[in-house]
Amino acid sequence: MQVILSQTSGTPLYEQITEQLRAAILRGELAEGTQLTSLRQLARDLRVSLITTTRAYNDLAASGLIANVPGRGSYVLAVDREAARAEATRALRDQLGRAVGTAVTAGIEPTALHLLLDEAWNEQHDH
Amino acid sequence: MNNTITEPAAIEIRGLRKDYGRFRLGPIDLDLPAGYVTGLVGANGAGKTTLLKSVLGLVRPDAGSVRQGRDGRVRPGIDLAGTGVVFDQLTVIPEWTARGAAAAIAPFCPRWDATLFADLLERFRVASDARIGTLSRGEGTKLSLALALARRPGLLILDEPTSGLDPSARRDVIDVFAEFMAADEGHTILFSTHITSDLDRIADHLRVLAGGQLVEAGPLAEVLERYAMVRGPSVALSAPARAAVHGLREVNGVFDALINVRHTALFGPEVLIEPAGIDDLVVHLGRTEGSPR
Amino acid sequence: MSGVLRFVRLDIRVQQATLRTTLAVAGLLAVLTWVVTPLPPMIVAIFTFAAAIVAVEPFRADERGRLDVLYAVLPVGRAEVVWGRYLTMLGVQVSFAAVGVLLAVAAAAAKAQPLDVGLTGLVLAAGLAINALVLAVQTPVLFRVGYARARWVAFTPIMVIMAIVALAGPSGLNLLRVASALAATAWLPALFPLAGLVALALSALASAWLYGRRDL
Repeated sequence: MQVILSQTSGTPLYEQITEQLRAAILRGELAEGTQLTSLRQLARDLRVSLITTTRAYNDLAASGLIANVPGRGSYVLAVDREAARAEATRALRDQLGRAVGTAVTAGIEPTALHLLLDEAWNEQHDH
Repeated sequence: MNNTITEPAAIEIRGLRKDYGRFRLGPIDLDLPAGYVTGLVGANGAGKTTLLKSVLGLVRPDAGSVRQGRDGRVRPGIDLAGTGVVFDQLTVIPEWTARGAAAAIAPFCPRWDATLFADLLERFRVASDARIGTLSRGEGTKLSLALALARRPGLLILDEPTSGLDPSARRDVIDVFAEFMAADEGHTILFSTHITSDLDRIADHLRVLAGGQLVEAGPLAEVLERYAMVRGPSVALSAPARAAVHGLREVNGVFDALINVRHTALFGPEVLIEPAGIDDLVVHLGRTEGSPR
Repeated sequence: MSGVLRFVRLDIRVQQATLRTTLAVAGLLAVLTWVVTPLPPMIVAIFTFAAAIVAVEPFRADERGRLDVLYAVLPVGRAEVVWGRYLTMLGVQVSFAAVGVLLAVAAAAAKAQPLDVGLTGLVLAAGLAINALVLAVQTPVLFRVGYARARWVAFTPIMVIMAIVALAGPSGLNLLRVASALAATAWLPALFPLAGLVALALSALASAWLYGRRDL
């Protein structure tokens, strides 16, 4: 699994790393027990500072997705499907709330909104 | 469980002072964290080179101490055998070849790695039998870097290593830094630069010099988060706001300045407030030396 | 001590190119001298004189290559650099003088003339001693301020020689007579190089102190 960083996305580098790893873990691409690249190796591979990778791994650990074992490395933990689903639902609620707000402001009907949702879903699954 | 960023100091500077008459450095208290990349920035003449020379013992300070943590204790001075140094000008005879320069230096370096030197030259595409005087600026810097790294140092000190280099050469140099840092958790880099985009990605820590004083120090992201850039019509600048900003510039009724984030309340909606970059710190902190944080 | 020797090896690398050129020039001058004034001991004088002139060259190379900074960031002490440089200089002086002597012997043989050993020995001893004095005076200056700011010291040997020649001037033949007399007493001339060595050692101590305090 490769982390690919965008220079221009505006999202801080550590956040991009966190998000990509989180997605990979939730997708199951990084199985439970997998050892992640060491902080220093990752910093070198991505050409970022050590503090950046440290922060990314700390955030992942705070979310309960990985464990940072001093002297041994960082390991993917078992995904708590319930908790992950609940967190994703919360995030979706926020995002959808904003989407609805945009639609209302522009005078777009719910049916059009549903169509857009289907389109977006199909696009994702084509990849 | 979190990884805490523990920061034993690789180098500890206390009360460093050097007086050149027109220019005065210090007093400076500075810690260089071991195992991290620290960028040293500041305008020309801010004292970066003097500071680095004082650390290396090229220049005798008028006051203060430089100490280094090694073999489990803090000792005075720097262990030059374990330090690689790169200056922005070559410190070799132009008539020598790259190989000749290495042969001249190697006997002094107990951990000299000839294979590493040859590998780096090949990677940098610098011919080992090329006369140093015929090398381009970029090639010269890369040769200096190869000579420094072949000593297998634990500490790399560089003064403007990427100045005068084209983007491709700069990329090569940064790549080499990244590998050096990955090779050992004790490896430490201190480099001074104007080219702040190099620091944006790979620097862990930042030290800002202005007018011979250390005006900011800390982890890079944290230091940047302490500040913001404000831009707007000059009329929007109240008197308290004027007093609080750093490095105010006013042109044609429009101003821009650096502020501490705790002062953002001094401004109304007619100004633009944006995150500050390293360049902004160098430009605006430099204009008001010794201003309170 | 090993630091000093390591520096000597480095110093030889630094000076290699210049030394070869100077030896060649000195050789040329010697040939010319021999043609003009067929006095083999003069060849020795030329070579010893050349060695004094070339003594500033390592400092010029240091300045050109910013080598002082290189020495300072290598794990070798400033005092070791100084003593190493003095050792190299001594080596250069002795080597040039030796070449001069060999060529003088060859010249005498070529002319099928006996070599005036006494006079040659005297010229050698005096030459080495004068050089030592010149180096003892100019080297600490060079270590303290570097070649660019101390260029004037490069003229010291020439000035000293010219002063001696000027003083000797009209009584040049008298000088030669005195010299021959001195040459007859073998041990006195031997003291000259010894005195020169002492002067150099004192000079090295001064240089080490000055160089140690220099901001690079």
